[in-house]
Amino acid sequence: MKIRDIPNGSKAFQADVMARNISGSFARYEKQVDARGKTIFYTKTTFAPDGSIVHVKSKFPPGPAFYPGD
Amino acid sequence: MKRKELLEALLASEAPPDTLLSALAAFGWDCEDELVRLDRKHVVSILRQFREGEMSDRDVSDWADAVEGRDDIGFEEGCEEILTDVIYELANPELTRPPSSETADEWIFHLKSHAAGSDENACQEQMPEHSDTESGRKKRLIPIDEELFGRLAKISESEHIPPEALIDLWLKEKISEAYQQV
Repeated sequence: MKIRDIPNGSKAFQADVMARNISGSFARYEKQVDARGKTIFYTKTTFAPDGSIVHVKSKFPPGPAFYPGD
Repeated sequence: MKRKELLEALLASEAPPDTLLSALAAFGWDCEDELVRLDRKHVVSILRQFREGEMSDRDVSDWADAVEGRDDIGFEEGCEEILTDVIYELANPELTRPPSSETADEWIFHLKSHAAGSDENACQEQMPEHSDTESGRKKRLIPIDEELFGRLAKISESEHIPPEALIDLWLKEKISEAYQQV
């Protein structure tokens, strides 16, 4: 778990989960919490083995998945 | 609808996940308590709908992604690990394996045969792990009776198939039959 500071006293919590089928591929779960401890963003980003982004899914607030290149 | 009702509808897949998630967003993300519980029967129902062609692989992935990681959804007691595993796999087919009739049958078998609070893990721990450096996958070492292995070795030799490959093949056939019966 990585924790980093982001503007306005907020913090981002990141956790990576490695792929089971493709070496080097992984999902990064990132939750951004404001200064009062309220979750303001929660995303899941899937990375390819070369480090490029396969897609980004916004769990909160909910929104359509983002596919780079689309 | 109240938050709990929306979550129950999500677990039962009574409406498209994006519709329910939009409604749930009004309550914010954080939640002190787990308001509903994901049971094995919810996942089995989704897998059956997929197997029957009532849900696409994308529908399954969207549902699992909507359920994954929520503070307000708890997991059936004693089944947390298997439910975490199946939700992760279904929500992340790019990182695990794409869903198919075979994988659906496999999960249904595991979920139905998994007794809550079972000592499945203890059973697995009794079988030593072996890392296969070629495939990167872990394997379990299971002792075989010497006499049985002797008979296996004879068949292996006559069929020109290594004993490991023969056991693998037979086990897969037997497991597949077991899934079909379930």
